[in-house]
Amino acid sequence: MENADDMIEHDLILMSLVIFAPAAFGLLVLFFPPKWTEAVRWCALIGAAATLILSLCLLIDYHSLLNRQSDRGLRSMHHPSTQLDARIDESMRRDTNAVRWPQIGDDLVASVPWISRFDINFAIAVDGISMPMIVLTTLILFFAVIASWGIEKNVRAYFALLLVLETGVLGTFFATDLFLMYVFYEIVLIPMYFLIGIWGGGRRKYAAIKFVLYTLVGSVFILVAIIGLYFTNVRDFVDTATVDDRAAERMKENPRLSKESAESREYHTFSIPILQRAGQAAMLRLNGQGDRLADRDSKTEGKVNILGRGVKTEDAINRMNQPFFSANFQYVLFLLLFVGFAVKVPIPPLHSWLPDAHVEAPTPISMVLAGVLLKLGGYGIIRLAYPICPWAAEELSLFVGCLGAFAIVYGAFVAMGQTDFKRLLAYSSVSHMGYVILGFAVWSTGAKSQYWAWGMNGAMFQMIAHGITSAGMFFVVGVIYDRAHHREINGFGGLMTTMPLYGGLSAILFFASMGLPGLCGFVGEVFVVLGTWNYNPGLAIPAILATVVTAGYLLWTWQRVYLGVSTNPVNSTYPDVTAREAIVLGSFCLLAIALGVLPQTLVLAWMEPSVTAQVEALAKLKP
Amino acid sequence: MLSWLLATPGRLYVVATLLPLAVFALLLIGGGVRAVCRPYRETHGFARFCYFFLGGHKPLKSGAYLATAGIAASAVLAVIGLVRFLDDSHALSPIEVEHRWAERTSWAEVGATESGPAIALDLGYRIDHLTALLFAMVACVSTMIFVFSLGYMHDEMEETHEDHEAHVKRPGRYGRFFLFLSLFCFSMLNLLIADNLFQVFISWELVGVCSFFLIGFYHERRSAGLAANKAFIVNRIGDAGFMIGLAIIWTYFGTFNFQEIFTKLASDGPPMPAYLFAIAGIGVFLGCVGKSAQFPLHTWLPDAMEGPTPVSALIHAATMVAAGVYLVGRCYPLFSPDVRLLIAYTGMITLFLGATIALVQTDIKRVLAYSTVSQLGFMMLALGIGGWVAGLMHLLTHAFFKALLFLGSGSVILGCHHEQDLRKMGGLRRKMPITAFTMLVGVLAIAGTPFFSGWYSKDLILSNAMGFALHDNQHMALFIVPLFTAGLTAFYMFRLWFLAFTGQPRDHASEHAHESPLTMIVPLMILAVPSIIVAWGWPLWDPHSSSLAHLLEHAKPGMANGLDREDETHLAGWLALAAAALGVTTAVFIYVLKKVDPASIQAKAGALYGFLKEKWYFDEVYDAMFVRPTIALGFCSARFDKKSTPAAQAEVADRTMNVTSLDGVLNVLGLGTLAIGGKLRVTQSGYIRRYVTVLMVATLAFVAVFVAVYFVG
Repeated sequence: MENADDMIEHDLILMSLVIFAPAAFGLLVLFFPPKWTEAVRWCALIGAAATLILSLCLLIDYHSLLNRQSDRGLRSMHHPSTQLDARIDESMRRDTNAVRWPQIGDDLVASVPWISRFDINFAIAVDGISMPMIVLTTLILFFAVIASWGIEKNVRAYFALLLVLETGVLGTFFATDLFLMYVFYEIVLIPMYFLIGIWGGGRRKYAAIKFVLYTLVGSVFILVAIIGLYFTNVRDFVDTATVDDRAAERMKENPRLSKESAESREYHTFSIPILQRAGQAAMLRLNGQGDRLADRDSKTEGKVNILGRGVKTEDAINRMNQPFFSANFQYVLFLLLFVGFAVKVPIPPLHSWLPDAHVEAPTPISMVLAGVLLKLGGYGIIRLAYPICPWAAEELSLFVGCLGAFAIVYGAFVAMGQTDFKRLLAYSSVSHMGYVILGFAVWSTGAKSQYWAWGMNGAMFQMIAHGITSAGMFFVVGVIYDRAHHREINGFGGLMTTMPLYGGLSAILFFASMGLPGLCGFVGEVFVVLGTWNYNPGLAIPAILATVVTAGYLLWTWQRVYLGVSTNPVNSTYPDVTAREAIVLGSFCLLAIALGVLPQTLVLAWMEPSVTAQVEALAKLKP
Repeated sequence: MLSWLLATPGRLYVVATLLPLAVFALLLIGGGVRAVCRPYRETHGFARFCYFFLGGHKPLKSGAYLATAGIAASAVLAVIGLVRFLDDSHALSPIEVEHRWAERTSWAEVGATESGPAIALDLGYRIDHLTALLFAMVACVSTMIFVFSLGYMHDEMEETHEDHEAHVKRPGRYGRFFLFLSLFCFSMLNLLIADNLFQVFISWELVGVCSFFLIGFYHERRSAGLAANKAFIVNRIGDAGFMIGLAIIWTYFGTFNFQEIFTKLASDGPPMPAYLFAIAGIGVFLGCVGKSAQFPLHTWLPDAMEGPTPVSALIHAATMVAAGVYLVGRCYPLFSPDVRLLIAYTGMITLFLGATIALVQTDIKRVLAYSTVSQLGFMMLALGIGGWVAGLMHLLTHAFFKALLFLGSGSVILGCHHEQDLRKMGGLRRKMPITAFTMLVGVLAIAGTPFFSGWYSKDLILSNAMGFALHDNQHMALFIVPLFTAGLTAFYMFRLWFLAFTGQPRDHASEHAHESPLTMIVPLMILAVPSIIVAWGWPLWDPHSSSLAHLLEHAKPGMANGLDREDETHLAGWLALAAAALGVTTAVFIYVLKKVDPASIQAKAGALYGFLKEKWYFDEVYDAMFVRPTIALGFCSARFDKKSTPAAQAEVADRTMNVTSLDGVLNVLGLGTLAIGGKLRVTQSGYIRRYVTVLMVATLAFVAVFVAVYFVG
């Protein structure tokens, strides 16, 4: 690709900066003298702030990318060429020997070969599904760093691990290469283990090992799925020109092969968009609609344009005798991916690690755990499980929806029975993440696919909203834990009188978590519920009724912690929040209000096109 | 900005709605900044400046004035809007009116696909006669109550205020009270101008949360916290029903806009199976049941009296609780005949229930609270039997006289140094004459005395009920019960007035009572005027020619025409008058002439008395049926999920197998693996000899298996 770099790929630089800036700062703090704790904190804060600002620049970039192609019509910002799949396809086309155009520097898609032997690329990109998660991550990590000011034990290592963790999470969200994504996904695990295991509470080792074991089991599932995917020949979903390129390279290595031989033309990849196309083809085949396949440029009505340019539909159908395109393989693949990520979401009964990890983790780590790490699970499901195995996802959608509804109800009831403030919040996370799963599950096709779009967008929004409210709520607990050194709900009381500002700010977060209109929790819940009735009223009703239980446990907690007069005189001696704490709490409150009042302007405008396009792509597979 | 405002007259209402919100935001930010600066006031100059600029240690008085000014401005705009709207609706065609008085914008758009355009959740306003009248009512009553609160909440202005019930000293919370009150006004006004169900739902929950905070205003008191929670959670049950209704409507109509839904309904009928249409109607009605404290979700309203009295007047009497009635009126075409009958019977049960409990209550605010429950029942009944105008007219008249009554009771309570027990009052007539007189106006209005506003609306309700019952004899109860209850109403309201204001003081609190300050009695006097005249028309003595009713008639949904069967003979009106007169006479006999001793009645009908005194035991039954089982289920689920161990034993517990919980079962998998690993470790002996043996055996076994498979297969 000697002549391809006439143009500097600004997007590659910007995106890599966002990913690696935190880790760079994390390494930097390691070189500080141990005594300089305050400097370490400031350095980490600057690192997190720089990442936040860079990610916001990226968001602006992405927004202008959408805007550039906008036709100012009804579907402005929805231009097909801005979709991730189209951008990556364009980028690949420019990469082939036959054409060799310069890469575009502002399409927010970038790919650098990493391990060419297995076609593993450092491929990163941004679209409306990953962008909100990226901004959420940088935002929460920024506040987590501020919240970490009180950490005194081994400050350098703490911040280094925290920032490396951020790189891991961001990398997972950016990656469009399965292998790269998996690597980043695993990187997250190690700092988290130490952060819980060293800076945690009394049973920190138990909690840390439990967290690691559960997540590892999930990772193994995902790894098996990834290997299974790699062994599929997906040559029909790539342009023939690209396949020719590859064949030519192979022939150079191994002159024995001829250009037309099947072996030289096999195409194995970790590229997520290509695998998504293959999965969609599998759905068409399994539904007996293989003849609807068409190549990308074909303009015929009712066709699904996912074959590579120059591939003939008949040839492609003939080559679909691989196991990947069989029903059982699709089921297994979906279950592997779904279960693997479900551990992270977490969906009962795989949620047991969460309460322990939360209870033992220090406050900022709980914030990161609830605010960011759980979203990896949801992101994995919407990015991999659904688009790569749509057929199984559709067949099993009722099962998935039931799991979601069950998580909502179960999490709420278990939360009601808790006496430990943090444990209660952990279960409320289980309950709130249930809406995410339910929102994914509500498959509908044809004209009704709009309702699925509501569900999916609601699920995505719920992830953002939950990120903000749960991180805020864990900080609320942290504030009082710093003063009281315990988390027994029944041991508090009258905090509203003692700490009025704290009480007021907590109130906003409590109600945001409860889904009060005008605050962020409402938007996601109501979108999901409105989308669900069309799919199955039997799932919508528990999700709606659970809001009563949610209000019940949160208000009961509210009453026991904040209202009344404490019987324990110590409770009335706590000082109100400091400026640092007020900044964190206040920012979460502001975000909760802003997202609740202006969801369209702040998030949906640039998130919805990608989410809806994915829904549309999957919904049209089954008319 | 100004040109935007003047573009269409309807934007008057938008401004009037947003004014209280702006005040709320200002107060919130001000209070927040002050609280942040508080700890730093000694060390940082700027923090010190901000802290003392925003009021320092004392509650900020100017915030309250700002809030009052804000709502007063809204009220002025509302009246201007009402006048201009009435003008327009006379002069212009309906399409022009629609053009000038309705607008909308999208709040969230999702799902624009190739197969269809996005379906959007809209925000918008649409003014019709009902909205214009209610908006003016809410804004004006709110203004009166804000002014009243300036005086009533005066002791919250102290730097350290002592709460005598909770026995704590705390800073006064003057500003916070007006903060919540302003947010409430915004939400309530927003509810009224909304042109779609979704916006109504948003406001619905927002008024609920304001009510939650205001009921729990004295949050040091345990009872206040409990009452606030109860109010919110009971309302959430109603809201869950509402949400189900919304989900059905969204799925089948694809819009929440009232006009679009009604147009579709009028042209094609419901686009869904009849049972789903009924469920949607019942769902929306359930929301109204919760908010308007109808049976079976009425239990929260009396407890809500824990809040400061102006709150009870504004939220729990005049405006918010009436929102349920308003919404039933607004969504009228969504209710099939069966659902309407359900509404009527719910109203009937509620009005009877409320009135009977009010008979025996001794707390002045609780009597009024149950009377509110009962009056809301009257409104629901009227709507259920097709008396659309009657129900909503009673909503309007009730708002004025009930606000008056509550503010009067607030004046009494303040005058008696926070004594609320009627048994300890007496003879207040001489000590607080203006309060006594204005409250008498309210009592006369609610009892249905001719020429007072309540007479017109109640007469209309009963005449509708009679028409309905005569048309369909099996629903005779829908007429008899409200008629009887009209008598009860007159009795318990006069009982309240006689106990408080006549006779001799029965306690030192009432002996040392004093008339309230001017800021409190002026609103009373002002509210007394609409309590009399708001429903007048010409001829004055004909209850059916009320001009208010004629105005409301314009907003009536088309499908409600012909549903109201008024009785033309005025018989219902005369019967109602007779019942009321009977009630008043009984009250006079018992409490003024003392011919009968109430204590002896209590003794004779002890069981009934206890039953009523304990509010039909609803709280106990609900506690046993729903609250405790839910909490128990919570604890059972928690135990099922994970067995909690004391921290001291945790180390051991982590290493023992325990299959009594979900977490335990999953841990067993881990611990089991560990144990197997421990066993297998023994095999890793390091002797090459043993490894080779194992390898050979394994290879042989594999070969055998392959051979077998090869030959068999």
